[in-house]
Amino acid sequence: MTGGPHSYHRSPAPQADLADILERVLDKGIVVAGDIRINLFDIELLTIKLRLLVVSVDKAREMGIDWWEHDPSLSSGQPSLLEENRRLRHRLEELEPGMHTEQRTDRD
Amino acid sequence: VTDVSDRTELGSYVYGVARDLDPATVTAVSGVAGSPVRAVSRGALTALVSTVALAEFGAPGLRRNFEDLGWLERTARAHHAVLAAAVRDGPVVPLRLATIYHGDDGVRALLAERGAIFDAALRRVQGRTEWGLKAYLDPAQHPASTADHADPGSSGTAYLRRRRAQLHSGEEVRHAAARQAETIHRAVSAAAEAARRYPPQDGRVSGESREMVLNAAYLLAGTGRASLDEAVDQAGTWPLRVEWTGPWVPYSFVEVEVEPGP
Repeated sequence: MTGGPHSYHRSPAPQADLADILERVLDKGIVVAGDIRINLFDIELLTIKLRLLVVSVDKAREMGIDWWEHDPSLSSGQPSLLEENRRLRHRLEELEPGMHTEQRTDRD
Repeated sequence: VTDVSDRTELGSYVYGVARDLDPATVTAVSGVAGSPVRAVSRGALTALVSTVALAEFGAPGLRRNFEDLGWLERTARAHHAVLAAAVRDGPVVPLRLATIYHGDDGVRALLAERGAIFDAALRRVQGRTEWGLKAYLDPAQHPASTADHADPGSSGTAYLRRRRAQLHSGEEVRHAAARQAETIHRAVSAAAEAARRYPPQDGRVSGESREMVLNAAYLLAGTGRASLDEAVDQAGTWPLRVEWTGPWVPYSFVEVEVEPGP
């Protein structure tokens, strides 16, 4: 392959990207209860907050990709990921006033 | 003074569990918070462990530090580096970031009580590697940038030129991209032992300006991914560009929730 504009680009594996590492180490792997536990609710907040960073909801939906809305592993234990995101957007703004979150998760 | 213990207490941070691991494989690697890594073994199972200060890794410290993306990045990279070093020596099952016991006795108890679960997970990943695939909408395929510089002598490029002419709007290219992503994922999944999709990543974390259309992980026997490459080549990629990451420790294929010991 020569890497022309339409061709399949094989990239070497340089130092892994942060986003790739985070999506693997945060809530993948074996989950076992250690002695030190952060409150389960905090973990839920954390993973959803990171999903806000990792998922580009609008861009994906614009392209007709919305499979995660029907994926139970992304909404388990949550009344609704969309609702939760809406609530967390406000919390994010409190935590990181410099960061503007532009994801819109509302259907309207 | 009420929090002396918080400053002096130590905990055992567990990265993952391996079988028949040569401890020398990981002793050269720097763990979380710059700590050395050691092996805590029971039978054939070896936990990869670092001693950490509970001021930083206790519950209040973790709650604070998890909100700090800099801390999270350093910790996640160190966690990954230890597992990536260990997997060169044999199968490893990763534990979720920040699994911490008060001491090595707790770690040994985990290996004793949950040995069967770790054995089963190690068997499942032995000799297999995880590969990450990301497909982006090729910026050169955006209608605004499809100035005709293709080689007129090639029928392939002539076809693509006609095809481009049919796609008048960015929306059409995007729908074609989404369809092609599904085709690629189906083809690669069929060539792999297991597959898992992730949501597309946001450019603010990945630093990537192109639009990600597919983000997935595949489990494959052996250490190469030739059969996955072949599946992509047969499926075709237009109007996407496909990039691989890996080989990874099989993070995406050992997700098990282990109940506390009896």
